[in-house]
Amino acid sequence: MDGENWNRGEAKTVEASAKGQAHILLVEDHASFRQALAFMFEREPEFAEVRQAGSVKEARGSLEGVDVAVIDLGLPDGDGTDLIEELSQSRPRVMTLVLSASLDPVRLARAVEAGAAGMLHKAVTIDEIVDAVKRLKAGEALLSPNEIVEMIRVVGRERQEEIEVQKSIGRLTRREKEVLQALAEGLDSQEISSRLGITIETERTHMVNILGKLGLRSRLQALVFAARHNLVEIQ
Amino acid sequence: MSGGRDLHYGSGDRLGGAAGSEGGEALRVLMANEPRAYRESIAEVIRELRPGVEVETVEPESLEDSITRLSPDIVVCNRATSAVRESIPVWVELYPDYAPFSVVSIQGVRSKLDEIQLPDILSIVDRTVGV
Repeated sequence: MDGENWNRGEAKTVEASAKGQAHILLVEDHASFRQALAFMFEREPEFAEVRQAGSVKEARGSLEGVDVAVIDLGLPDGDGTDLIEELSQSRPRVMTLVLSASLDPVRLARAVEAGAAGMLHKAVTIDEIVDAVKRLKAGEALLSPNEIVEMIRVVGRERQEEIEVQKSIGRLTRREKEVLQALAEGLDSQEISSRLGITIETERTHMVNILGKLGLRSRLQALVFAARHNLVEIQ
Repeated sequence: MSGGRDLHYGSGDRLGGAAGSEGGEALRVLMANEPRAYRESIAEVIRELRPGVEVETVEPESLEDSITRLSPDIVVCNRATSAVRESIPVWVELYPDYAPFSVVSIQGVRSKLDEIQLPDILSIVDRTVGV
C-alpha cells in the first residue's frame, strides 16, 4: 500500500470509528460466496468497509484496523485456526467468527481455544451470519462460558489421547512395524512370515504383541490404526 | 484481496459478454446448492442486481421436483443430476464436494472454472437471456 492510500485508509478508519462503524474482514477461499457475503455486509450501515481475503497470506496483509474477522478454517495455504491464534496474540481487540463447513468438534474446539469468539456452520442463513457479526461488534458473547470450557476440555482430551497414541507407537519394535507394513500391503500371515523370514508362529506372536501394545483386538483394527497414524505406506 | 465496494458486478468476464436484456418471460434461476449460506447469499445478489430475474432457492433433495415445478432456465447445484443435464439449458456445478473449481454448462458446452467469481455467475445469467 503506498503512502497516499495508507493515509486515505487511515482517514476512513477514523471517520468510521467516529460513526461507530466496524471494519470487517472476510477470509474465505470460495470467491463467489465471499463476494456475495461481502455484498450482504455492505448493505448494512453498521459496517464501514468489508475487506476480503482468499488465503491466510492475503488475510495477514489486510488486518490493519479490522474489528471483526469472519474466518473459514479450510484455506488453501493453511488452517484458519492459525490465523485466529495469530490475531488473538497480536491484535486481541479483533473479534473472530469461524464460518466453516466442518462438523469436526475437535477442529472447532481448537479454533475456540485459539481465540475464536464464535462459530457458525455454513448451513446457517445469511441473517444469522450478519447478526452474529453485529453481536460481536457490539461486544456480545456468542459462546457461553460453559460452552467454552467444554470445548477446551474437548481439545484437552484430544491432546491426551494423542499423547497416549504416540506412547503406544513408541513401544512398537522395528519388526512389529514391518509386520504392520506387510499387513497394509494386503499380505496374510503366511505371506508376512515368508517375507520377513520368520515362522508363522512368530508372525502371530508379533501380531499379538502389536495388538496388546496398541490396545486393539483385531488385524483390521491394527491396519486402520496404522493407516490413521501414518505408520504404514499404502500404495 | 479486495475491498468489496471496489468490485464491479457488470457483465463480461471469463465466460464472455452479456447477451443483453430481451423481452418475454422472466428468466428463472433455481439454486439447489449447499451449503445454505452460499445458496442464499448468491441468490440474494442475483435478485438485487438482476431484478428482472426470478430466483428460487431449494434444498438439494428437492432439486428434481423443483425442476418439474418451476422449469428453470438455469440450475445451480453441487452435482448435476441426469435430469439437470438432460433438461436444463444452463447449469452450474458450484464447488462440487467443496472443490475449488466449478463446472459450467451452457447449451451443452461445458467449461471448468477455477475459483469462479460472482461476476462469472452474473455473466452466466446475462448470457442465458439470449439462449
